[in-house]
Amino acid sequence: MKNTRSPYDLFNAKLLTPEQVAATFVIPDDFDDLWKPNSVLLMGPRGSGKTTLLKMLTVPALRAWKNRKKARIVMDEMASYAVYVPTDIHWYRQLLHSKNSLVDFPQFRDRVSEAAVTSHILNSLRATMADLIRWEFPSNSNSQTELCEVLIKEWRLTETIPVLSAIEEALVSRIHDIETHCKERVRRYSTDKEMVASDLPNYYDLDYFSAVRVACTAFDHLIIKNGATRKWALCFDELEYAPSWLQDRLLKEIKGSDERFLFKLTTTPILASLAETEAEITHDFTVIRLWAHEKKKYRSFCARLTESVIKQWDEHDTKKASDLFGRSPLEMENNEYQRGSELHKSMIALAKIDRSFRQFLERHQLSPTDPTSQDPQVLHNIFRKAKPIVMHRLAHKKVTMKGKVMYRGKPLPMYHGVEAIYDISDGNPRRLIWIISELMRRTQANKSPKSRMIPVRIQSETLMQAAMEFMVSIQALPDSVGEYRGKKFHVSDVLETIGEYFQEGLLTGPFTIDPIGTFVVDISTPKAILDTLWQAVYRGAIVFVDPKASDITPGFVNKRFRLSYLLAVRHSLPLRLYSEVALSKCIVALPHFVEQRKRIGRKPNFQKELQESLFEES
Amino acid sequence: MQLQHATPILDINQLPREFDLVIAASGFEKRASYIPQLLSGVERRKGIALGFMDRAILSRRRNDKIFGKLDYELVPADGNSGESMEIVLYQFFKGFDRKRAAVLIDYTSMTRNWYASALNFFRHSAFACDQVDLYMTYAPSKYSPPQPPVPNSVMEPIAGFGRLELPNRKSALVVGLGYEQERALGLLEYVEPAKTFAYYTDPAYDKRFVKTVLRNNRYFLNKIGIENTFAHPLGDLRTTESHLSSLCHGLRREYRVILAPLGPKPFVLLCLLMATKYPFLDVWRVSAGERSNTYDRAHIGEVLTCAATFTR
Repeated sequence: MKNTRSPYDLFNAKLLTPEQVAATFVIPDDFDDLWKPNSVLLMGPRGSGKTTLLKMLTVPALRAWKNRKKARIVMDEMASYAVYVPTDIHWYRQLLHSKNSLVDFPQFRDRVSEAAVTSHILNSLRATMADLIRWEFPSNSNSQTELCEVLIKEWRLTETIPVLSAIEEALVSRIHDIETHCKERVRRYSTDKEMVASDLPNYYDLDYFSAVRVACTAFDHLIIKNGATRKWALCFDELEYAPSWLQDRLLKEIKGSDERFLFKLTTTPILASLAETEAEITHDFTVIRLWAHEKKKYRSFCARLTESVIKQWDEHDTKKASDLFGRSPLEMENNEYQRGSELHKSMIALAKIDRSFRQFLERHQLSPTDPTSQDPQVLHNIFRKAKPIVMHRLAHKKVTMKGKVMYRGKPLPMYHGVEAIYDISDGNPRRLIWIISELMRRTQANKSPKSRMIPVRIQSETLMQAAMEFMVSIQALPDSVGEYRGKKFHVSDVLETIGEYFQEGLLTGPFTIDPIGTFVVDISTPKAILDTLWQAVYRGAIVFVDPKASDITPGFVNKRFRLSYLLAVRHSLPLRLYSEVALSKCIVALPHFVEQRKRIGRKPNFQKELQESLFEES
Repeated sequence: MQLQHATPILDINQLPREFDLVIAASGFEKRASYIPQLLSGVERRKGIALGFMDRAILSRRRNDKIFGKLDYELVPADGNSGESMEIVLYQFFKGFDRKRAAVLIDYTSMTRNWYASALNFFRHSAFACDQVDLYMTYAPSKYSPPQPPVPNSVMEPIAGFGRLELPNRKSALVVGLGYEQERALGLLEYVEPAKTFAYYTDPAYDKRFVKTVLRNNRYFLNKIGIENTFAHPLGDLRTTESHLSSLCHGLRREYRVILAPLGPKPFVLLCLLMATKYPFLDVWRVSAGERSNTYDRAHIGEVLTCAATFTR
């Protein structure tokens, strides 16, 4: 069995140390907004770079970063020490397990959660202090004992040697104690539930923020001493996996009641809830959105990241991405409107076999046998917009020997070229790195020494494979099932139904330069569907298209989405934003889709079905 | 109580002739009543058949009748919760006045929650008994082809088998593969572990199980690599425990370890026993929940038994 890498383990900053993250860090456009001395809410799907960016704020990463000039600027101007507080699914599930085991003891349950999470936050702060002493204040390390004595006292640790490593052990031991309390106390007080939370050790009363404040004050006095003190930036990763009480607290504290502290929080593109907060975006905190929404330009970052990945495969390789992958056939080029150009020929070819396109041309006073114009308005409003639709419809159709128009079993390759690769990645670094790495791997196996460009076939196959793997990963997601009109479904069924809806309109409906290609979650959308969308948006399977700069309203309703362009590949959709439809309308076919999937054991072949409704052209 | 040791018993005739308590499951599988019928000549103070509250289909009615004839008390139970098992055990042992108890649990058709709950009960409960000799029996099934996969809806620690550990170390995932398509893959994508290892049953009683497991998990196995994949014999828990224990102890220095047994129940039992003995392990269940496929599995005439001794 060969050992292949996947999008989900190849570049996962969660598994890397800050130094390792820094070694391959490519600066995204949002980085400067992140490190500036303000609180930030960093929103994005999985793989969009949230953890990478937070880890890059830490001292070990900044010191390891080879871009010394930029590192120095950030370190000088950031004016804060970043404390990275990680979380993951494992921790989230363990906390949930603990919570569920104490369902009959709600008071105790809440205190256990707070004590456990507080211990974790304090340990993260301890780790940061150790790094700071090592890298920034080595000459003051002899004050470490004094600092540790303060931490031991204020954090209510007992019988702990005053060194930071022993404090870590004490906090690890505390978690074990908490776990033991959960089991023993529940047994002991099973018949007297009021008593279960009585006489708990005093560390159960610790408030995480108070404990952090006093520790940072001690650090400022004892370690930094007379030097200029900085703020402390508490960087909480994956807020969606934090207990709800911590989410609520952080979203309130981001307002900035203590000026010594900043908060840098990462979370999903859509918040589940928003605690009552008086915080105002831009005044109290900045929102950074790390996905390819309508107004975001990501191609230049993709280009830099791609060239960095290419260099990792061959440090002597100086190829530009556009040399290696060529240009996408779906991009408009200069002179493309002219007679004899590829677009001109394609439009003539499609007009011969697609009556509705012929009629479209005629409506716009364009000749189906020679569609040209010198009018800049026509070129911009018609030709530019028509091009991807023309190419897609043409790629799916063929004329048989008998002159009959049929749908192809396998469309002609359309997804290749540097722009297509960047768009299909949705600007998601993890996804892009996998695609580029896979292309480089295949190229090295197949390379013609004289060729500079990776063959179109390899590019298309790789992108299709990425799309397939992405869909497989979506199909395996938990917490993503529901029931709609008597049929149990998974969120992958919803995504496929949406994709098929868009595809049918694009390929078989009347020709239009603005087909349906996005959906708005309307209030008629059943709750069962809404509940499954969380994983879809977290995984980047659906993309929030038009977030308002100052709006972080939780929930999905009245928000506009598109499918990830990676899923668009699966459904042969253009990589563009198009008109919207209500989600409740495009999921009407969901029960039918689920039934067919159950009956035939796999995704129904809509392509095959489309072939049967032949275009009656000749 | 503490788990002292666990021993495989190769011959059902080596089992005691008398039990204080026997618990089985009355479900929709043909094999659910096989071992209780085999043991009909054995004395017992009490016999309980936990009856699933849902999916009274396939061989369920037949099994209910058989348990009735064998004089088992049928207790309705929710397959998603171990509560019924705990209540049954609590009620039995609350009035138990001997120092030593012999309990047989036939987990052939039980959900993981049920037999995990039993182990949890013996691990944590305080009652007068000084020693419990627990016999866990299982009847392997004939091969039946897997049904189309149903998406996972549950991925979490089994109740009583989750820990609390600071997330200052990465996670390592050890999966026992099942034969339904790519269930392990979903777990891998969900947990994002730093290291992943997989066990699959080989030799099995039917070679088709092995082929199906490898075919239906090929994508997952390609991802983790052959060097991280291990075959284990279904009937030899001792060898498997030795290997698995060594792996887990090696991992725990650097990682938080999750055991996720998705396949044959003897491997699930092994993981639960290991987590009972070595509390640094989480044991997770991965399931499609209510949408899980149903198989009317028949027995092949073999019985696998593991005897575990708990002492105060």
